[in-house]
Order: sequence, then structure tokens, then C-alpha cells
Amino acid sequence: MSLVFLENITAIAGIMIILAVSLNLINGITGMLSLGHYAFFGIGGYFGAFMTVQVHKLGIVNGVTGLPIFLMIIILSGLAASLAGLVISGPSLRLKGDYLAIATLGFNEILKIIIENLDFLGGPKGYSIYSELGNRPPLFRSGITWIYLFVVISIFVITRIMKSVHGRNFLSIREDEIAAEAMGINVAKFKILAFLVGSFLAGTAGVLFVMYDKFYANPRDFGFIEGIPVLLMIVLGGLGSTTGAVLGAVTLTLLLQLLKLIPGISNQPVLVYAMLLVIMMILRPAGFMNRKELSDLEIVKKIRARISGIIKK
Amino acid sequence: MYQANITLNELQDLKSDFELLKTEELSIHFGGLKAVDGVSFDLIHREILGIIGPNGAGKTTLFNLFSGVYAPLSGRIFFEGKAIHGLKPNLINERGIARTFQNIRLFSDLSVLDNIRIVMQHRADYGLRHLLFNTEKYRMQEDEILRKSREFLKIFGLEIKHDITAKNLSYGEQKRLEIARALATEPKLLLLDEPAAGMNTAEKEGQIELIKWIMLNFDISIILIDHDMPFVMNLCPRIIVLDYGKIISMGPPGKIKKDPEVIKAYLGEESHA
Ligand SMILES: Nc1ncnc2c1ncn2[C@@H]1O[C@H](COP(=O)(O)OP(=O)(O)OP(=O)(O)O)[C@@H](O)[C@H]1O
Ligand SMILES: [Mg+2]
Repeated sequence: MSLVFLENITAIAGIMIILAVSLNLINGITGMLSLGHYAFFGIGGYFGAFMTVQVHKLGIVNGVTGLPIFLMIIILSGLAASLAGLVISGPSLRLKGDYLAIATLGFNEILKIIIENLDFLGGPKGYSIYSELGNRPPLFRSGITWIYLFVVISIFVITRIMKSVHGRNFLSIREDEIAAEAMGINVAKFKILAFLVGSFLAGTAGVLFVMYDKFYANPRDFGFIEGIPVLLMIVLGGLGSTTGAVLGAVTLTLLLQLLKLIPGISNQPVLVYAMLLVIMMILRPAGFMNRKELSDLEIVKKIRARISGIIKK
Repeated sequence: MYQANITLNELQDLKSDFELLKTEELSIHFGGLKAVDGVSFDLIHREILGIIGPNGAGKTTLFNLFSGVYAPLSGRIFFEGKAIHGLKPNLINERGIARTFQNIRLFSDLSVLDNIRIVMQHRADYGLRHLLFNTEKYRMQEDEILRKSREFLKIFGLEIKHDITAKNLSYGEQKRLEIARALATEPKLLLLDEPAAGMNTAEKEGQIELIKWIMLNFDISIILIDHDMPFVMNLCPRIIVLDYGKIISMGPPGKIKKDPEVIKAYLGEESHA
């Protein structure tokens, strides 16, 4: 195994972690069945790629400005995706369960078709930063550091939210929307909020993905089907657990990469997903974490108590 | 545990003159069915009002109108003199009406503590910055919510169970937690949909004392629905009888018991069954 291969897997795992923890916020924590997460991923990717080309054409990118400009682009791509999140959260106020699933799935596919028909974004061939810049690479790119910076930010933000009234409001919607509303919780507001935060993070994952080494946004990377593994990750990890989403993202990424080495299986991903789900439902239907977080585990609690004991001494 | 030590007559005298809730010609139809049909009545501060009636009479639907689950087809609801019909449930709760559900609706996969903590959300006003950076303001408000929630659990004898998942409580405890949760939103009016359903006689006695005690200690009004006649009659100085969405009788237990309309409605039900 070469170093590049390892680096690539690490990068993909990081992007999958961002996608999984953000999808888990919408699906696992707030309990809305959204199947359109890759729409946000794609919007972030395309927006980031487009912006990258524009800033290069403007000639404002150099050794000094490169980093802050890229950071700005990542954040703006997240915001662009969360605009789409705002749009899709509209139906989420009226539709539940399977109906919301179908609406979000449709949203994802419609968006893909729209992008495929936008000539300035390269149409069905996709949008290549290379060719837009006259076969030159952009002066900045994402990489392990950028990706894991946003992995840490995603996990940190969601974990903190879950320790607050806002996080508990998300949970109450998953548990019982009618009761939550009757108890004074603004269900509509928090559904929208879950979509805004989730889509923002997915959008940052999109630009980090496109700017990793391909510098190329391909509509085929952002369809609903392509997004199924992320759903699988949060189910494997245990819907509702951020720790589980991270574990699910890492294990499934590793597994899928390893399977690529076996000829014959690599072009049957759906078969692999189905098998995985069946195995999981038999062995551990509540996922790795069963809605618990790392900090809920007895062993972690004990270690913590130890450490704080030592510090006090 | 909760001894109110107060008789019906004393309860009757406790009522203030302040009109808390007023409904005018309230109606809602489902398809051709008139589930609630021209219901008008007033409720006074510190009153315990009972609603009885045969199955499908429209009792729960009335609660759904009060709590904003449905907007009325026609008619008006005033709470503390202000119109609330058509408001969203969370806004109605903010105004001061809280309820329980006929089929218990807890946040069943969450802990007992979190069931209370969630509905204390109105006590916090810290923003994103505070929660991300664990500021003083965030910690103070969260500590206060935790303290208050534990206090509530203590009042309702659920403190030792704070860590238990709500769905693993006994039926009676779940009912109590649901009432505690409603009260934790600090309502002025509490709506209880069949608070004694599924209880034995001794438990019902306890429930009567609990409800009286809640009314006195929280200084609120209560409307309760139940099928158990002795239960309602021992608890409510005034009772409304609904049948086919209409009020067919209203008054003190003594009057309701003898009202031929009421007897007919209930006998009618028996002959259907
Ligand atoms: N959302 C709805 N859609 C259609 N019909 C409804 C709806 N809600 C209630 N109903 C009907 O309205 C009538 C009144 O129902 P409601 O639940 O208010 O009765 P209830 O008095 O609470 O009865 P019970 O004592 O059995 O609880 C019933 O016939 C019921 O089937
Ligand atoms: Mg009912």
C-alpha cells in the first residue's frame, strides 16, 4: 500500500465523517428522514469550484491571499448549500416519514438534472477547474489538514449543540413532534435549523472533496444513489449518535476501499450495502453506539473521574 | 404523598372571579362528522372542571382545539381575555395552557430527567456563541434548568428514576411524568385527558388528591376528561357533559347525576354496545 493510497483513504474518511455527522443531525437526532444530503454536498462542491475559478480569473490569488480566500470559499460554499437546506426544510414542515424521504430524494435528483443542464457549469461532463484555468491547477487546494479541520469543527459544533436547549429541542422533535409542540417547542424553527446546520456542513464537505485532488465537480458524484453509503454509515453507527456516525463513516470507508481491491465486487456496491445492512440488523440492530455517545460509556466516565481526581491532587 | 385535605365545597369556594378561559360557539367538523358542535362555556381561575361523555363525544377534540392541534371551523377561544383560536400549539403553550394526552406521549426514548429538561427550554436565552464557548451565561442557565428539573422530579416522586428511560417507567409513573412535564412549562391552565384511566380504585384515590394538590400548589385551573363517574364527581365542583359534540348538561355533580339527558346519553351508549 502506497502512502498516497493511505492519504486518499484518510481524506475520504474525513469527508465521509463530515457528511455522516451532519446527516445524523437531520435524520438521527431530529428524526427527519432526509434522503437528499448529496444535494447539499454537490452544491458545496460546485459552488466552491466555481468560486475558485472566479477568484483565479480575478487574479487576486497569490501565496499570501490563497489560504484566507480558500477559507472564505469553504464557508461561502457551506452557506450556498444551507440556502438549499432552507428550501428543502419547507416541505419538512408539512411532510413526514416516507413522504419527506421521497420529497428530499426528488429534490436531490432534480438538482442534479438542473446542474447537468447548466452549460456554464460544464453540463453533464462536469466542471473542471483545470480546464477553466487553461490546464493549470488552482493555487490552493484542500488536503488532510483542511479536511480534518472541518471534521473537528463539525464534531465540535454538533456535540456542543447537543449539550444545550437547542440540541434537546431537536431530540424532542424526533421523539414526539406533537408533544414537543404542545410543550412550547417551536418545532418548525428547529426543523429548519437542523437542515441549515446539516446542509452547511455537507456543503463544506463538498468543496473540500472537489478541491482535494481532482479539481473537478462531476454531477455523477452527487446523486441520491451516491449518497446511500452515508445513510448506511449513520445506521451502522446507531442513528442519533454522533460518535456512531464517526465510527460508521470510518469503518464503511475502509471497508469499501478494501472491497475495491477485490475484482468483481467493486462494481456491485448496492449488493454490498444490502448485505451489510442485513448483517447489521442481525448482529446489532441499534448500531454500534445505540444512540449513546463516547462520553456516555462507563469506561470513559471512569477514566474522566480518574483524570479529574489526579488533577485535584 | 399528596394530601390536599379539601372537600368539594371548599374547592368550590376557592374559585376566584377571574375568568381564565372562554369559548364561544366552538365547532369543528371532520368530513360530515360534527366532532365539536357549538360549544360555549367559561372557566374561572382556580377551578377544576370535569368533562365527561360517551366515547366519540368530542372531548379529546375539544382539548385539541384548546391546545392548537386544530383550528376551529367556527367559534372563538379567549384565554385571559385574548383570542387564541388558530394559534400554533407552541404559542398557546407559551400563553399558559399545557396538556397531557389520552395515549401518553412522552419523549419515550429519553431519560426521565430529559423529559422535564426539554420543556424547560423557555428558561434559557443564550445564543450559539454561549453554547459553543461554554460561557458563564450558558453554564448558569443550564445549571438552573437542571436544578429546576430535579426539583420537579422530586415533587412528583420521580427523582430516583431520573436516569431511567421514560418508556421503562410503570404506567402510573409515566402518567405522573407526563403531568409533571406539562406543569414544567408553567401553565395557568392544565388540560388532563383521562388522568385516571387504567388505574385501580386506590390509585384513583391518590390521583384525586394529587390533582387537587396540584391545583392548590401551582395555583392554576384544571380541566380534566374522564370516563370514571365517581372519580370526576369527587374531584370536580362543576362538570360538563358532551354528547355528539354538544354540551347536553353542565353543573355540579348532584345535578349531572339526576339529569335525564345525561342518563339517556349513557343508557344510549350501553344499548349500542
Ligand atoms: N383527526 C380526525 N379526523 C377525523 N375524525 C376525527 C379526528 N379526530 C377525532 N375524530 C372523530 O371525532 C369524534 C370525536 O373524537 P374524540 O377523540 O374527540 O372523542 P372522545 O370524546 O375523546 O372519545 P373517547 O372517550 O373515546 O376518548 C370521533 O368520532 C372521532 O372518530
Ligand atoms: Mg378522548
